[in-house]
Amino acid sequence: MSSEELKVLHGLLSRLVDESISSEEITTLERLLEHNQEAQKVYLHYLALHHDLQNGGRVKSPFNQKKPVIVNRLAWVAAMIILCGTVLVYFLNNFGSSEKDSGNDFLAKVIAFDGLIEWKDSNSGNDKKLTIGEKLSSGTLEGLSANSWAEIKYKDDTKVIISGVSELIVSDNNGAKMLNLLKGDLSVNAMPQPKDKPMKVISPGARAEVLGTQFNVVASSDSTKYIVNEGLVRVRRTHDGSVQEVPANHYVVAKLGQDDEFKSKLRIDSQKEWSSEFPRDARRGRLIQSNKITLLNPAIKILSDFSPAAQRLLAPYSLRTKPCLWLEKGRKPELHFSVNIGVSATAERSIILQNNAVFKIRGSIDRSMFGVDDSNYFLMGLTSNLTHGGFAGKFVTKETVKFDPNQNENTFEVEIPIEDFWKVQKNKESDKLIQLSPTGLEVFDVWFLTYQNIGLEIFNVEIIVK
Amino acid sequence: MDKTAEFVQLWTQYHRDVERYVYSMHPRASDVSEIVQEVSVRLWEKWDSYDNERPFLPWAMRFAFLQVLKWRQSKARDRLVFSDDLLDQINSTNDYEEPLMEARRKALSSCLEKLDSDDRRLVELRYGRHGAIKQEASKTGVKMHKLYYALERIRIQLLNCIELNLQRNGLTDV
Repeated sequence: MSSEELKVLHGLLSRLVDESISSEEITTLERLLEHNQEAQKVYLHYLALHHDLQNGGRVKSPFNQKKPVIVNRLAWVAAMIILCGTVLVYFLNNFGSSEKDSGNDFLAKVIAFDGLIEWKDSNSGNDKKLTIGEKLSSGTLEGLSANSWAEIKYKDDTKVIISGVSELIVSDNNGAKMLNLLKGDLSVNAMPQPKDKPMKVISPGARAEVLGTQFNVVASSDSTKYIVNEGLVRVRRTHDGSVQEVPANHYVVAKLGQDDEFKSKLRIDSQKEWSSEFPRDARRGRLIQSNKITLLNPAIKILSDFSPAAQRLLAPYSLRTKPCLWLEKGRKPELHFSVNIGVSATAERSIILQNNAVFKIRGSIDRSMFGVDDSNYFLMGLTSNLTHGGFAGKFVTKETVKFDPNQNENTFEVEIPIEDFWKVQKNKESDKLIQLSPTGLEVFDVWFLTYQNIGLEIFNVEIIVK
Repeated sequence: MDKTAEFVQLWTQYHRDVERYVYSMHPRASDVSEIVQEVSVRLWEKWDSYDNERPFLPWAMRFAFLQVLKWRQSKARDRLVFSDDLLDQINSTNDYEEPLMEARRKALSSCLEKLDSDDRRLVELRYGRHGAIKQEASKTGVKMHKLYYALERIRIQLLNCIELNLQRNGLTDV
């Protein structure tokens, strides 16, 4: 390989790992690598270097040793967690520091959390499980499963909550709070910030400046929805720099690199009833599109491709559970299967639960996959927000699906009244479920989970008032 | 050690290697964690058939390769980086390179220490905190692309240092 070719290859690989490579450059890279083992070695070494630098916790580099970990007097604890959700594998390599502080110069404290939550400290590079009261400096807060949530409080009482499968980088820029939401759901209750040091929120496709307000953020891989309940949030769309001032009771959606409408909209009055619509509301799971009719008639397929209404009728989507493995040292690995469906998170209106509300669920379970007698159940959970406010907790219930033993039918339809849901209560001493109604709260999303692979597929979820 | 504990131990030890391998086969950072998640599920499902007389990593990588192929099939063509044929070639080359990867990683630690303070700081910004390079550019007035060119130079410096380190230790792969 000539030095000139090597130089070109290095330039392309640099842009590949920095994710700024163009499709033409990919073609050039492919040409350089084809049947050239030497170039392929360079490629593998380059990507391995980038990966190792990115996982600095494993590389004892000088910049990861600023705040020495007291390894010699502490037991090494390895734990690992593999996560559900947009979907992750995470492992805890806790070097066992018993100190709760990340240093005196902390930014915020952990107030409460539940489910799988992980903290990666920026300075030490170590992952660790959180404890309530822990002081945090800059780092990454991650929710690893649908039932995960964590609340942190800054010194000025500003509260930040992540919920579900989420990833938030918490940092400070000369006294200005910085939140970088890579994915998931964020709820912020910001105290008045100094005018010259507004809180900044960065998310896929947008940046926001906040002086003091309550707002919720829903981030997917390619867009962010800002829902403002109090005060004013200034949102800048990343790709073209256009700005929207989003006042109370308004929302705006910024998409990454798209020229869709970017305009602050009034949140239309809340509604009491709701019906899921896929793919719009699919947040986790495998989307499956029925092709019974479209296979027979190509014209119908074209119609369903262009009309969401026709698609719903002629080739409806369903959402099938995806597996995730949860590993933790000292515990038996737990494999479970889940889907997550947006309610207010993905709808234009806020959906508020009434005291006589019922969830109506249509779906199917593959009975041939039943391993034991009690396979025919699933857990259902919901995330709630206060009306015109932030995170209000997670609720769960267990539903057993009864099938007629004389029928081979796999489909089911069940109704679950909201009084069947229990609130997950977490405090310093224990986790418990308490019987508390979610009446009057906004349903943000719902999820379904099974512990055995019984092929749970959700066709439709409705909230109806009886 | 019981089978479950053995799985947890081996996966703890090797999951980063599997992740790096998946990234090499499918260099889209945003997809990697989900593919690795699927790999871990497959490994756990097949754990009973694992022969513990044989090394874990090659066994895990076979599943990882199949999972990458499955992932590519499920995505639109525009999300694919390389052709299937090239992917096979890179996979074969990786078989030869894999035994030296741990040595390369160890060499990286000493190579990072040899960087001058400005370069080390830039690496720290790029890999330590999301968005820090952009902040650095606006703070110092240095253009973003200049910082990225500097990073390109530093990575080559690190790669050369790693090669030298391997040669000195008789682990030549060049």
